[in-house]
This record gives sequence, structure tokens and C-alpha cells, in this order.
Amino acid sequence: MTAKTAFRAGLSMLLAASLTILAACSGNNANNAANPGSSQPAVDGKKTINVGVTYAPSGINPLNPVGLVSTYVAGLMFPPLVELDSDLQYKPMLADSIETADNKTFTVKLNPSAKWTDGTPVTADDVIFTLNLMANAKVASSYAYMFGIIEGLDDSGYLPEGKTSIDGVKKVDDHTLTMTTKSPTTLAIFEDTIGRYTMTLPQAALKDIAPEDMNKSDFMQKPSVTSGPFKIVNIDADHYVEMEANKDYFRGAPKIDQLNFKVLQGTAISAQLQSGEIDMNIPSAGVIPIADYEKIKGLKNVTTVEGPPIATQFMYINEQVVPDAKQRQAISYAMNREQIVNKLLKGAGEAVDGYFTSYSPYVDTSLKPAAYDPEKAKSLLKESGWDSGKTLTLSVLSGDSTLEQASNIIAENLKAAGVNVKIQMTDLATLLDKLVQMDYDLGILTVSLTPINPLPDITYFLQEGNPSGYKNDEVDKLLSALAAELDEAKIKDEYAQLQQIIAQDVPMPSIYATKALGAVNNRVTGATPKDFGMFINVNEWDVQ
Amino acid sequence: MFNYVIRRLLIALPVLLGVTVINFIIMRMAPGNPVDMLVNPKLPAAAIEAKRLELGLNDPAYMQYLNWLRNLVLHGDLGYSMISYAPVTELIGSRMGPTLLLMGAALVLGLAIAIPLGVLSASRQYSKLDYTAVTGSFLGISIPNFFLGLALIYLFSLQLNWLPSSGMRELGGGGGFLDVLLHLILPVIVLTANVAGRNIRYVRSSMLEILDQDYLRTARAKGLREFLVVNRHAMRNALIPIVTVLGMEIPILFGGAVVIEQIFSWPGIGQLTLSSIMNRDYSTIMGLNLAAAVIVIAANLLTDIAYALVDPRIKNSYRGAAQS
Repeated sequence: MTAKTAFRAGLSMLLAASLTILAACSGNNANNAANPGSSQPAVDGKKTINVGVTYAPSGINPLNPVGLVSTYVAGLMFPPLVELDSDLQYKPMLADSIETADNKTFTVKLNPSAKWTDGTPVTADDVIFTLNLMANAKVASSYAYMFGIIEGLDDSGYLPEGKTSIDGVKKVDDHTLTMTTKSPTTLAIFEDTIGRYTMTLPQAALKDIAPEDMNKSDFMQKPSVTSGPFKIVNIDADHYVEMEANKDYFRGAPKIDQLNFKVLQGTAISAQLQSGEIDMNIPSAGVIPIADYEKIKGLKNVTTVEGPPIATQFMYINEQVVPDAKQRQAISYAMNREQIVNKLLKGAGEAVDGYFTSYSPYVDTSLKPAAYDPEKAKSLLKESGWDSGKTLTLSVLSGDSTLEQASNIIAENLKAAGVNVKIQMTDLATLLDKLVQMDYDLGILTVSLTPINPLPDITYFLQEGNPSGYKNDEVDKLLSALAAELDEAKIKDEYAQLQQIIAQDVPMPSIYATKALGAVNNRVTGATPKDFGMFINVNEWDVQ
Repeated sequence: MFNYVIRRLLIALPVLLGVTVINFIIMRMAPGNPVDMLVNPKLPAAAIEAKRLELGLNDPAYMQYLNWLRNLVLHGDLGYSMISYAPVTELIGSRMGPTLLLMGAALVLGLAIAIPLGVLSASRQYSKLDYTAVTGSFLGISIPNFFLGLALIYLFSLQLNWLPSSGMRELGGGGGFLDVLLHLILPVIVLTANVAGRNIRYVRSSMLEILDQDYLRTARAKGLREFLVVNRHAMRNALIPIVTVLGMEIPILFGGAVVIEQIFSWPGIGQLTLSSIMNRDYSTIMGLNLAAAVIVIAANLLTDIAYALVDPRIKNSYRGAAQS
């Protein structure tokens, strides 16, 4: 064999090997005609909708969903009792109704036609089985604390040692159960916690798995018995989730055959909307960079929806470093919020200076965000005896280019007012660690408060053990009062008082809230990209 | 030769052990932990404690490492992801195929371009073809992967709408040979440009060195055709250093694939690596690190074996070493 033929033979062997790998990897059905350009995502004449998301569905276990997208996927397989809609009202999902006469005993009536994919009905026993799992410390659910309001559970939402069932949960009949809370609770809070986070699991399929093995079980990686509008076919958490319609869904068979989630970089969303590779995004979970808003609004095949301001940038201030309220006020006055909103966000957001955006029912509209006033900031700093030689480190979450630019503006603003600031970009894990350990000077982090029940977040921000080191007895009293209050008008009033105090003390001013853009291809009917309740009517979505 | 391989494999074991120890220490020194990423800090302390307990993070760090090692050695078990609770072996296994496909295709195509072009441009030094090949090679090296990737997506996916811009197959069905091939084209072009660019220069310079040697003058003098001189006598020796380069190419491709996989949403290990680091998913990071170390060590070993196969002098030296 000459060198040349040997070389040729070697090369063709390599090629053949690579083609074998190619064939092996390509898997299931080779008879599929592929789709160049993918402008028609229908494969095999199937009706398919692809949803672009920027967060990975890292854990779709409904007891322990990791992040927003996981919660959506889990909810499509195991509908919660009720779901919050964009009008901030709760819509029935698995439960037909949740009612209470005395704000202590809540009667949950399940949809009697709800069925598992194996044909058996979804019953009150399944709900109770799920609640018991949530309350088991060995399952260590991240959402168990939501259930801490139920009689028989501790404040972390766990059952006391040695107990296997919850005292406050009673079965009435196959489709009805009652839950009793430890103290009077508004229906809204009950729905926002237990209503939204109880994703009922099939007892028959799971009863033999020990609670400590539950998270690691095959079922939780890829549930085989579900009740929601879509079943899971395939999941690769970093890249995609493939779901197919459950034709027996109790609220009506989905009109489409397939619903897929594609995990993308934010910058890829506009390109894939244009090419048709994705049909829509989820505004706050498939975040489009603000720089792409104009381009997407100009696409002919796409309709856009501007969402309400929700995701808010908060400035965490360590009070060990900035102890005087005047100094914190100065920081707030020094920031040019309007410039950021108008120039950087191009109007797709709003200037905020507290816990609530205009979307919240509890916002005190008599309070305006601190106006940009560098002179006032300077004089406040002077009064408080600020050491102008001190340099503060501003820790900022990396990866959000808008936030990175906004931080530069803020750093310049603060320098102009006499506070030296050095920006340090960090990843989320590092930033969270710094905040929790109080190992920071200033930090900017995005927080989205639940519009209906902001109390847990606000309590965390203001009560003992908060990441700012803030302490105010009056605030603590208001927080306790809010936790026990049932009258909506009084709740509103107490939140207003709280906002007045916060405006003076400035423990952690917010800067701006973005209005996330939603986009949907015109071939899709019935679907609106929105942050709350987007998938309530998913069974009515269709494609032309 | 056999003894040599065995010896190399035995040396590889302490190297792997050292890699995992260093990785474990560095990983634990990084700020943040998986619990911060999993649970909201507003949770009651007892709930955070329950999560730490469940993930086994309350044991002393050295115990956590030893447990990991014991499970690996005794059961071949890399544990469970701390974020998704999926078995780490499964997570890595299911993503290794697509990465190997992408890398393999790029390596084969890159060499299929680089070797003939390098040989041709060396044997016709200073010709138009030589200048073109060298310029092309510089372009291939110097254009950043992500830029070329985005440019190709813009041209072929958005403007011409010929090729898909992401993924390995159509979701919901798809996955046929042609489907995968179409998805493969753009990322493979990017990686191939890189591989070919790097290797054209190696082949060319290695070939130029050989072409000056006396034994080729002898071959020409005895009246051998130039074609045979180049392809039989020169290339055989010129390709020996290329084998070494090939061994180094694999780790480089592995790293480059992370960027490319992200741009093209290729379902390989690249995104898993990034997300596990971002989430401080300790067990997955350890597994990936071990897999990468095994691949690099295996590539080195294979290179050395291949080296011995193409160059009998080296084989003899191994034999000598084994006998002494």
C-alpha cells in the first residue's frame, strides 16, 4: 500500500466513522423529511408551538421546581389548584373553587372530571398525599414555607418529628377537602401560597417511594403519570423541553399537538422569532434585551405586548458601611433614575424608589421616587459628615447588559455627588453570598415581588436578619400588623404607612423596573405572552 | 509497547486523583453555594438547614470529597446533580454524544482540508495557491468563533433562511439523519475553519522542513516523479509532528465547543458546564471535570501510541526502555 492510498483509506475510514456517529446520534426516525430554514416548524403535519425562554428548566419536580421556567413546565403537567392571571385575579385550575366563611377553614372543591393520564380520577387523597410530601423535611421542598400557615405545620412548613399527616387538612369527599390555617388568613394569601404551589401528584404512582428518595426518583426527572394539558416527552434542562398534548385534559383537549420550550440566549430571541424557530417568548422568563425591542416591534410576522413593570433593580446598602439615613437619602437623590428610564430603557420601564411598582395594588401613589438632585445629595452628605475619601464597592450582577450600563450611570452619579464608587461585576451565586453574609458595601440585584402577597419578601428585607442590617421598631410593628390583617383597606393603609417610613430611612432604594416585552408569531392564535397566567388557556392555543 | 501502555495507564490514575482534589478545593473556595441558588434567602433558617442536610453539605468538606470518591470507585457513581437531582453520569452521558459528534466532524473535516492544502502550499511555496492557503489559515485562526458563528447565523438563517440557527434537531419529531446534518452544518463550519486554520500552518511548515532534506534530493536525483517525492517520501515524515498536534487539538476543541454550543444551542456538554458552574452544582462540576481530565489524558495516551505506530524509531525506544 502506498502512502497515498493509505492516507486515502485512513481518511475514508475517519469519514465513515463520523457518519456512523452522526447516524447513531440522530436516533429515532430517519424517515423524517427535514426542514431547512425551519420557517414551518410543523413536523409531520403536527401543530407545534415553540416557546423561547432564557432560564433553564433546571428542576421540573413540582415539589421543588427550580426557577420560573421549571414552575411553568411543572404546572403544565400538574396544574396548581388555582393560577394567578394578569388581571391579578385567581382562576380555577385543578380546583373548581376555594371558599372560606371564617378566614380559617378553607374548602377546596376539585374539578370532578380531572383525570390522570392513566385514566384514574384526581382525588382529594392525591392532594392530601402531595401536601404531606411538601410538609416532609426529608423532601426539603424550597416552597414548603408557603404552607407554614396551615394548622399542624411549623413556620418552615414542616411536620413535627414523628407525624406523617397534617392536622389542619381533612378530606370531606373524593373531590373536596378542607384546610385550616393557624391564624385568620385572607383568601388572597391562601390562594397565593397554597393555591398556587400545590401541584397535585398521583399517589398511586408515588406511594412506594420513600420521601428521602423522592427528588432523585425517575418519576421526578420525567413524570410518567400527569394530569395537565401537556405531557413531557423529552427534557434536556440546558436546551429544551418537548411536551405533547394530553388529549384527555379535563379543561378541554389542547388544539395543538406539541408545545416545546427552547432555552436560548436573550440575544438569540429576536433572530429566532424572525426565522420562525420560536413562536413566542415568556416576557420575564425569556427576557429580550432592551436593545432588541425596536427590532422585534418592527418584525412583520410578530405581534408584541408590553408587560407591566415587575422586575425591579434594588440598591442594597450595607448599614455597617453607610450608617446614617441622610447618607442613604443622598445616594437615592444622587441617582438619575429618569435618565436611565428615558435614555437607557427607551421608556420601557419606570423609575421606582420603594418596594412597589405601579403594577402593585399597594403602591402609595402620593410618594414620588426621589427626584434627581445632586446638590441636595451633596448637602446631605456634608451634614452627615461623610468621609469623601472613602470608596464604596458596588457589586452588580453580571450578564444583564442593561443593568451593567445602568450601574455605570449610577456610579458616575454617585461620584458626582461625592461618593466614590468602584463597580465590581459578579455572578449571581457570588452576589447572593455577599448579600447574605453582609460582606458588601453597595449591591444591585433584580427582585420581582409577588404583586398579591409581597409581605414575605418585604419582611425579609426589613425584619431582623435582613441583608442591609436595617432596624426600626415601628416597621417591625407594622409588619406584624400586616401579617394578621384581614381587611384589604387596612392592609393598604398599613403598606402606605410603611412606604412613608421607608422613604425617610431608605434601607434599600430601588432604581428602575423594566417592562418586559412579549412577542408572539402571528400564526399563533389564543396565546398572549404575559408574566402571570400565560398558560391558563394553553389548551385553546392554536396555529394557523 | 503493551507494558508501556499499562505503565501510562497506571500513571494516569494519580493524575486523575490529583485533578479531582484540586478541582474540589478550588470549587469550594469560590464564593456562593448551591443552597443560595436553590432557595430564597427569605426562607426560615430551619428550611435552609433542611436543604443543606438533604444535599449533604453539612458534613466536613473532606468527608464530602471522600464520600464522592468512595461512590465513584466502588459503584462508578458520580452522584446526583444538586440542582436537578438527575444522576450526573446520565447528565454527562446524554450530552457527550452531541459534543463528540460536533468535535469529531470538525476535526475530520478540518484535517481533510488542512493536510492536502498544507502539503500543496509547501510544495509550491510562494505560488498564488500558497499565499491563498496561508491567508485563509490566518483568517481561520484570527476570526473569533463567536463572531463567525453569529455572521453565519445572520447570513444562512436570517437572510437566506436555508439553515436552522440552533439545536441539533427539530423539536417534536425531527432527529432524522438529514435533520441532524442540516443543524450540524453551521457549527461545524465554524469549528472547521478554526481547526483547518491552525493545522494548515503546521502541515506547511513541517513539510517545508522535510522538503529541504538530503534524502529527497536523492529521490529526485534517481529520477522519481515530483508527485511521488512529495506524497510518498516527504509527507510520511512530515505528518509525524502532526500526530502530536492532533493530540493537543482535542482539548482545544473541547474548550472551543463550549462557546460554539452556546451560540448554536447545541445540546452538548458546553451549556451543562456553564450552568453547573453558575449554579455551584458541586457534584456536576466534579463529574464534568473528571470527564474532561479523562478525555485529555486519553487523547495524550492515544497520541503517544499513534506516534509509536507511525515512527518505528519511537517504538524501538519504548522497547529499549521496557527491557532496561
